[in-house]
Amino acid sequence: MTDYKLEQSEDRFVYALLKNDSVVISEIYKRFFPKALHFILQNHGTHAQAKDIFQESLLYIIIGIRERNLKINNFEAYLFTICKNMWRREIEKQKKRVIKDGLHTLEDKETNFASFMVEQEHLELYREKFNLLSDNCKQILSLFFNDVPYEDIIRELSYATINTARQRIFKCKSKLIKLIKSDTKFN
Amino acid sequence: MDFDNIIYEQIEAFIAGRMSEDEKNQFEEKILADNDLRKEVDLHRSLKYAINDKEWFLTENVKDNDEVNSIKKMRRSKEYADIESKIQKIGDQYFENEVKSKKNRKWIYYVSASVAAIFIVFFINYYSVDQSTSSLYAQYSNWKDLPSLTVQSDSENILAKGEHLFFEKKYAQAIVIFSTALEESSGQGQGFEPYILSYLGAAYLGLNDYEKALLTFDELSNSDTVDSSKAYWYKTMVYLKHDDIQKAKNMLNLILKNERNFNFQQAKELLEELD
Repeated sequence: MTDYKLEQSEDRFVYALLKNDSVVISEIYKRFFPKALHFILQNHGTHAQAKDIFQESLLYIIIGIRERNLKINNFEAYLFTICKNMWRREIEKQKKRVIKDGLHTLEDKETNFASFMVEQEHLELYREKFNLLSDNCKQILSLFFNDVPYEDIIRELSYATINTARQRIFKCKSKLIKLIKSDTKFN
Repeated sequence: MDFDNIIYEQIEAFIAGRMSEDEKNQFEEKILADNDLRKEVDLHRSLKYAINDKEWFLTENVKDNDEVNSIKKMRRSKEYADIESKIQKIGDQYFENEVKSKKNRKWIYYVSASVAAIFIVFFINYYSVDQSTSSLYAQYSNWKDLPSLTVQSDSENILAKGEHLFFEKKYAQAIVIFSTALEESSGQGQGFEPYILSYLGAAYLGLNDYEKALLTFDELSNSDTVDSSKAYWYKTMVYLKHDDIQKAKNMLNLILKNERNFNFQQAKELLEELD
């Protein structure tokens, strides 16, 4: 780990994590764990699960910055996003468990972590490219991805017919996919 | 790899569930035979979850994924195993302290609630309109060692301020502070409610607002905490100050229903005196 990367991470929390500073890390627990706990309890989790997720998220940030070129603007927001997404993933796995899909349920902790990391990195790439689209594309794709019915989409964005809206979505989506594929981070 | 628009249309229809059973089966076979197509479908699918922020897209075939395997290897290395255990250790200390401080808070409000009870007894002792009951309470106000409230002021300055106002007999101001504190603490599970309610009720009693004092103590008795039985004793005090002997006796009888209720022994004695 080069000092250059450390200098780049202006956030003192990030710095403390990378330097393994116990005083500040315990401050991280104190300041940020309650919010993660609250979210997980609200979404049918337990205190023990919140603890695991929080600790895995801290490790995610460390490995991300050291090994995966991760850059963080706002430590608190990013940590919470990672906790949230890890928990979303856990819920998805539980759903699969219900329909008896053994593939994801038997993963060990490290596989779980690694799969999440790859998925999270993809998600960040997709979002980054999504933000490069025109406002109109972003608007219509947001509605589309949130399962808003075509009837409502054409009303909201004043399209003449469902077919024109569908064509527009198709074009925007193709553009987004092109942007994603042309990035070297996508393989 | 790039696909033509016809394939894109098919992927779209496949994901949206707009295909007939036959079309669907055909397309699924196509996916199985073509790894690039499978990746493309996955990309289309996961885009949705990346943007809608609701569900999560789980990658399939993790075992064959080189990237996943290399991260897994890294995560298992001694370097990160050490970091992980350090993070957990710091966490364990944090969670231990959390439990301790919760216990402390419980102890603090237990003490403080008793202080409120003590105060009410003093209060009635000195300000009761009825001189005969006043002398009666002299027996029950034999509280020599009042616990220090500085413990409280360290952890919760606002509440300490409220107590200070209360002891200075600035009841109206104390009520404002305790009411606000009560609103803020509700739902946060900090365990301060019984303590705040005790003081709030006593402050209303200080203003001779019997109705509100009783309502507040009712809330305490509904609070489902170890302190809920204290509400009976406090309400007894309210009725006595209001010179309503019958209702005071009813309350004392309630206390006597369970030996574990707050001030069981005193209640027994007081009831005998009143009879």
